[in-house]
Amino acid sequence: MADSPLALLQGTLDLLILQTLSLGPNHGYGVSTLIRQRTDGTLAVEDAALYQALHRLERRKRVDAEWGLSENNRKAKYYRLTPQGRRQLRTESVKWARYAEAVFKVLTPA
Amino acid sequence: MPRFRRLFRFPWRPTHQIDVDLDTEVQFHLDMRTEELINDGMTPDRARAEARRQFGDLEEMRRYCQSLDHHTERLARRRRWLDVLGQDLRFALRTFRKSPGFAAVAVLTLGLGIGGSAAIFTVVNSVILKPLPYHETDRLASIGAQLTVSAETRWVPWISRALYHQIRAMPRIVADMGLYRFWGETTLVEDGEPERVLEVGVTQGLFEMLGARPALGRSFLPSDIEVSTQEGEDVRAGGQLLLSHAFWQRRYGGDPSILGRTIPINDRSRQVIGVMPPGFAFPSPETQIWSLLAPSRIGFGAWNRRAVVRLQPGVSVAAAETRFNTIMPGLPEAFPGEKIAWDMYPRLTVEPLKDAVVGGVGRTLWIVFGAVVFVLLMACANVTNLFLVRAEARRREIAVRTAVGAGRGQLARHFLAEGIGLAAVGGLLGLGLAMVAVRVLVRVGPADLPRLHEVTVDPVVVAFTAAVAILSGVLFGAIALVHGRSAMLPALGEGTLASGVGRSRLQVRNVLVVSQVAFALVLLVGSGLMIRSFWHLTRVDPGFDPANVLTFDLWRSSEQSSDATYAFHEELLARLGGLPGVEAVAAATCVPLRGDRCAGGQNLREKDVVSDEISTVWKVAASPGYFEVLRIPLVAGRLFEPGPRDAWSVVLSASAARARWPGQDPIGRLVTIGSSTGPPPDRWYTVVGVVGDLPVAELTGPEERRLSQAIYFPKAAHAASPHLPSYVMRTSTPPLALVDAVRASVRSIDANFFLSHIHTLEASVQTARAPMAFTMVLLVIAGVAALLLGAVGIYGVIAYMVGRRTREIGVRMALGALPADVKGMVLRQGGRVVLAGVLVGLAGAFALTRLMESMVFGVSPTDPATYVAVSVGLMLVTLLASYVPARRAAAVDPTVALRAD
Repeated sequence: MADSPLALLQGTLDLLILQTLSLGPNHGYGVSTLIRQRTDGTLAVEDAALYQALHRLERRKRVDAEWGLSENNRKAKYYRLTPQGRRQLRTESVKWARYAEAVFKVLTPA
Repeated sequence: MPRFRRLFRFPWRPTHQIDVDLDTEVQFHLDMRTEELINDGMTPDRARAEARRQFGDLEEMRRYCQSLDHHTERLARRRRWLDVLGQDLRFALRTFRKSPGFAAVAVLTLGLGIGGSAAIFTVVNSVILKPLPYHETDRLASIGAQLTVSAETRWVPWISRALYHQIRAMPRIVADMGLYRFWGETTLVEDGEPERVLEVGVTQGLFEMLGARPALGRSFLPSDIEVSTQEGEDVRAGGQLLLSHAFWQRRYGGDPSILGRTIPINDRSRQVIGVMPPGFAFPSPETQIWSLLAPSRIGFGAWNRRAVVRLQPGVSVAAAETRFNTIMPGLPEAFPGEKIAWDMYPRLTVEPLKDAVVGGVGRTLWIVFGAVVFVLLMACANVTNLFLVRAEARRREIAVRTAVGAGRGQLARHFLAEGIGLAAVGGLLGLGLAMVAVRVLVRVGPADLPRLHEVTVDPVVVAFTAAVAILSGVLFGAIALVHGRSAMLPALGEGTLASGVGRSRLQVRNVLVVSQVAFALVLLVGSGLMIRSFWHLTRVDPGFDPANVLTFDLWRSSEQSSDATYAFHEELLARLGGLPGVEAVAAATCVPLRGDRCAGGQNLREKDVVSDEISTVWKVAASPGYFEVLRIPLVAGRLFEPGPRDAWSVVLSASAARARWPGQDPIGRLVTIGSSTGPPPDRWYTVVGVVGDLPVAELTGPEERRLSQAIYFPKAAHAASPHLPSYVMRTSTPPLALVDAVRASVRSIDANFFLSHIHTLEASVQTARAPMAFTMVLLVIAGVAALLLGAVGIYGVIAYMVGRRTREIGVRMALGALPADVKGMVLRQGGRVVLAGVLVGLAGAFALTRLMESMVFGVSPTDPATYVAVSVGLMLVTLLASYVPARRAAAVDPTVALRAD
């Protein structure tokens, strides 16, 4: 695991964000931290790209945003999944699993 | 799972807030990360730098997110706005459903107002506003000239071919130019019934200049011009013809094989080379065939050709006129041999082609349109009134809604939504009505209304209707809002005790009613004047009796000697006279209201009188019996007698005799037609009688044009006459039922003759009256609508006032006021408002009806009788309208009124 972090495949970041938010509403920092923890730093998620993706998802109404108070009582922008976002998460994760499976089948020696 | 305490949802944010929010979000992230790194053991400075490094390209992210958020915000705002509007409209709909009477009356009133104005606007738009259906019409102009005859100047739409060549050679002013002339009707003989078709000659390239292309076949080409065989004359160059679409459809059933076919017109074989597209109506919708006109370059030419020019870009009509007139002084020298009265045409005139096409109708249409806008305003005033009544009735509701927290903005939106909702429905209804009305208008409109065939409801009309509807909706909403707002404060704690509270509102409504009455008065005066004019017109003695007279023109399908023609007429007169149902029959070269067929502008010359003065008369050749058939009264002397005795007698019309020999006896004088300075004729005609005047060309004009000076010669088929005569038959049965018998009689004598322009003289008279009848009907409709709306308005205000003052009236009656006193009080109140309205209206009518100067006939636009009658009538109707609530007021039971609340 000491290898340099893997660059993200196109569209993967959105899926990761949606998955993370499916656990409950969170702010950008929270999402960033959670993704790091869960991948043990395998995936290099640049924070700038993460925020761009969050705003893009908000624009497409996959997530909703509102101001809330963080754990340490600071004003933070919280994102939550919309029903549309939840739907996209479902279809995309199924797609991803099948994609990964297919790639894996090819790569695995018979 | 992280929990958080919600602060607030994002409402809409001002623009700068978006950027601030983004900074807050990023700062939170960086702070949290720094804190985390410090906890992991970094120094604060290093931690801050590391957090910043891990974040990546902050600037890029900020730019990206900002633009994204701004866009998102805009969308959200729009959505929200629509949501809110939808909510308000739904709410408005619910409130209307609760008071369907109010909504129905309001929508209907508005619909009628909007529909009426949209219908007339459609006509105005199509006839006046829309550009002509040609290419770049604003650069097209027509050229005419001032014609001065014995100190009287009038305008004629003509120039001559020499002027055409000279003007065309001004490339800095004129981009292109075409010349055309009405050839009049020509005879088409083919299988089936021969007919007369209207032919117009156009120069090659004229259609291209207008941007018109044949729908079928081709246009005229330069190669179609044959070398002129008649030097010095314009000829119908070549034998090619273009057909109008309507004529092609009617006569040939739209058969495309017409192309290349030759058809015989005026004994000449002409080849059809094309069919113009539907709706192409140059120079008039009646044109049926076009032939090629090749203006000769020799000589000055007759001053009777019409010209249309395309001016160079940026050249004004006035500038063109100035330049064209520089030609005029050189003309007498350039054409020394020509016998032309150069000083008769002192000046060329140029006007936009559209003005030339629309002509004098523009003013009439604008006046009618103005009338309809008045009606619309009155409708708006009435609906506003309704809104006010409702706003009164809803003061409690509004107060309650304010009390439970409805903000001003919310109430404002609500009122606007109500107004706009009503107006939208009214507008839709109006548009529907307009479509129906336009169809009716086109059907009943006078046939000579220019561009009538172009009248359609188009996007401009729809936009106009929408604009009117929205404007009126906003207006109602705003007015109701202003009053609703003043109602917000006190209404909750208030009973209906407050008879004084409505004072300012009552004033607003009084102003509305005063203006309504004023509008109504103006409209009624206008329609009154038109009614009086029309009445005068129908009372004008046309000088003949048009009832039960059939008239038709006679044409031969190929040329014949005039002797045979004369014998033919004698024979035909005899046979027609023998038909059952025919009382008397005669023939004449000029029958009433057919000025196009008559030879006008002839000089009446008296023996041994040499004079420079030209007295112009119409020359009519009439068979004996003509005066009897038309019942033209004999004023002096005697009428023609049958037989050879009267071969050298003439009869004059009264106005001709009066003009020539005022106060003297014209009988026995020796006269002829011709120049007063030329050599005397071999033989003079003797005036044997004077008859009443006839309208040759117009029925509605001023007297000197209406009563045509005429000289009658005693032979129907006068040798000098260019046409075969028209026939007039007085019948004892319905005239049109005789047409077949007449046709058969003609054919039985000579199959080469055929009839055209078969109609009754009664129809001619009606056609002549049609434009005025049309205007009258429109203005009368507007006037009646105004009267009704005005009455409803008065009724509304008085009824409202009585309602507000029920208690006060009760007190008065308890204190001894009689029902009559109460009635009088209410009527006085109504009377004051009406009187004010009438005074304002009289002033307005006095100012506005001047515009109608040219439309009225036989009355002055300030005709006192009309003004008095309309004022009195309007006051009576409005007093009646206030009498109904007055009676209700008088019936108030004091005990009930005092116990109310």
